Amino acid sequence: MSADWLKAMPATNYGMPVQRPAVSDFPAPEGYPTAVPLVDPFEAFAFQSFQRTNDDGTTSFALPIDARHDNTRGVAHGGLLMAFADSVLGFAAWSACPPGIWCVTVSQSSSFLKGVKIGDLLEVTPVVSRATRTMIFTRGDFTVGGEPVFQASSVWKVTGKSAS
Amino acid sequence: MTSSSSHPTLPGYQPMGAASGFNTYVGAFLVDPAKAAGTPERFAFLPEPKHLNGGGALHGGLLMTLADTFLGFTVQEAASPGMASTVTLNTDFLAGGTADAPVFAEATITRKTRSLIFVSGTLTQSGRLLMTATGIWKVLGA
Repeated sequence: MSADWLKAMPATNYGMPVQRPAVSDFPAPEGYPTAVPLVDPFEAFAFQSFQRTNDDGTTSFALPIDARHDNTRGVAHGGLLMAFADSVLGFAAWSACPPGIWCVTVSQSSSFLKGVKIGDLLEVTPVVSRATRTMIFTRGDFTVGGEPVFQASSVWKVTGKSAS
Repeated sequence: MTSSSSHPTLPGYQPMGAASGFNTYVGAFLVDPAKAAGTPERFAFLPEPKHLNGGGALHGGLLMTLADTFLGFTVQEAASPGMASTVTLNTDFLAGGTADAPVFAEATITRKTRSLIFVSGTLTQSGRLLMTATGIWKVLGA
């Protein structure tokens, strides 16, 4: 199976090397042609997410749930959902940061509304609720086929440290 | 819930039994089967470089996976023979972790009703608090 999205991935993002996904032999999900250039080794080990830019300027993300994510009952592990949330809410938080500035997760609240099954496509359009000089507040409602299944909100600390 | 062999790196700890597919994929989840009655459940995890973020610290998603797994194991012991699943989990990140020392965890049931179980826990590394976590699990079918 060809993975055109893999060939199109940039070598760096935020001045850091893009991590090669542990699993890549699957097509990009419909409506999400671009792979997220993940820079965190744990993310590229645990999942590969995809993104698109919407007409209103927001960014939507999608995560194909695969066999690695199984929590024994055919549903995804809560830790996987929270890791994906940390990833996409992080992209939202970093988009609200001045270029070259780090921000780190201080707190995340996660609620599990419904089991997410292996083979599902998890979708979210993360929102920056408020950004101050030192703190960024983000949230996301995650859906499968339009149905809410998971929600997360997080608080980020702007460290002021340069990323490069 | 545990196998019989002690872990070579962390004597007294054993691999968690009935680990899920995702846990097996992620790494070495360990439990202390000999903790004293009435004290918190005790766990350990051996981090590796693949668990880091781009800044060289243990990834928040990995720490939340540890919290969900260890708090969930503690809840499951309290819910047995029933099954429970996570409803909500709140995690505070107090300090960054590294890949070169074990992460230890403790978890305590704070309240148990017919249908809900409340649990809290901590993750520490080299004596330093990395995370505090509280969660609510639903007893399935109750």
